[in-house]
Amino acid sequence: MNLKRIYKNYRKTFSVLILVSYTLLLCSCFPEVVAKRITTFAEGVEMTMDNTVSAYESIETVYRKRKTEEFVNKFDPVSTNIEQVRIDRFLPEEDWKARELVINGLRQYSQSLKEIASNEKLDEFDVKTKALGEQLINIQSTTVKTKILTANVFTNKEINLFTAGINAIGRWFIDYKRKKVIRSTVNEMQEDVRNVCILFSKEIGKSPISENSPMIDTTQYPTLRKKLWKDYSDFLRIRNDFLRKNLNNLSANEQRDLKKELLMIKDEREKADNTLNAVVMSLYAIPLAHDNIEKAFDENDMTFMSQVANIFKEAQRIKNFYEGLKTE
Amino acid sequence: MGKKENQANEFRTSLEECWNALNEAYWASTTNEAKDAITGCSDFISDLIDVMYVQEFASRTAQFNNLAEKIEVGNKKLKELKKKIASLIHKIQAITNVISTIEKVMKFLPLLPL
Repeated sequence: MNLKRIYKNYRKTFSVLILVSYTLLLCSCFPEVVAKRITTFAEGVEMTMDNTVSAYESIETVYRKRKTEEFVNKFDPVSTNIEQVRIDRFLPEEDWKARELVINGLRQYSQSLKEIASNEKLDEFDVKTKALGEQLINIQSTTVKTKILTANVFTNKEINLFTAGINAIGRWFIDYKRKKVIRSTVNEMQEDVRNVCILFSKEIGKSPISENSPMIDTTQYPTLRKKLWKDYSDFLRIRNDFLRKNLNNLSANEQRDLKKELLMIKDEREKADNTLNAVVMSLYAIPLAHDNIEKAFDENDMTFMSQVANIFKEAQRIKNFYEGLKTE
Repeated sequence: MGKKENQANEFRTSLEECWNALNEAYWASTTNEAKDAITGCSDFISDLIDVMYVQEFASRTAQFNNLAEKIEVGNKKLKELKKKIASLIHKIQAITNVISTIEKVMKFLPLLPL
């Protein structure tokens, strides 16, 4: 086979490659809007998971506050051995770890969905194929080539077309795979995602509950809302005990501050309870949106996005509340 | 639900009702004696409720462990896809590197006594 024939064969293969790649490019596309929708959903899940962690942390914080207050009120400096005093966590470490594992699993799941849906990897792929094209052109234009090869095997234009072909095939592969994997994984994960959200919602506490006190709700099982309400109420009572027992020893201003603080604790109790309820609402919204992720691929369908909006509805308010609690 | 669980639930519910009644009574009472008596009881009942709650939360831990395993399966599948995409990018990079090496070698060719 002489050089001319090899060259002709290359050109033929080349033309087919270009044709196939552009056909593939036309058949497949993972529009920017789909990537954005899935990314927004993933961010909503991550934010809800952060808020769920904060919800559990708030239970521990208030429990610790209550136990500390209880201890301080009963503390007898003569008979108490401070070395033996310990305030344990409410939820034992191993039980918390199991919940944290699920939260992190769901975080990782949404993070992966986001990464796969985003065009970051496609951009990286574009950069690499562009570099490949440039490298091929470099080799063509070296003075070495003109000295060793007697004829131009490919023109720069042909090389550009070749690398564009490789780029199109690669893009198609990535698009096809991610669309396929997102669809099948989401379908397989639907039940588990739903169960996770139901379990956390159940543990935090369903709505609606009694207006006056979540302790007399219709739920026949312990919830974080009941626990939080109880600890805040105990904390209020114990703080009030301190006030009434020390009325004669406190200045007017100190009394005023303590009374003000009691009102603030009462207010915080209600806000904390409402926040837990809002976390439940976000948790309810996740499986609804997740079940409809298929609709994210239909650019004209807004069902998915309206469900995603429900996840975000109170997410920022919840975040602000918990951040406020942390800085107190 | 078993008989034992039923009994535990009834006991917990009665403790919750008792705590609630004590809490209302505390704020309704107007003497130090009454408040002192109530607060002692409230602390005791509150601690008992905590014990019951911890048990209930702990009983859900197995469910959480089970779900964590299932989510891991889905995560593995997504991780696999990320690997495939990364490998494709890596392959293109590898070819580019090979060509770059060839180019470097070719620069020295004219210097050789061919």
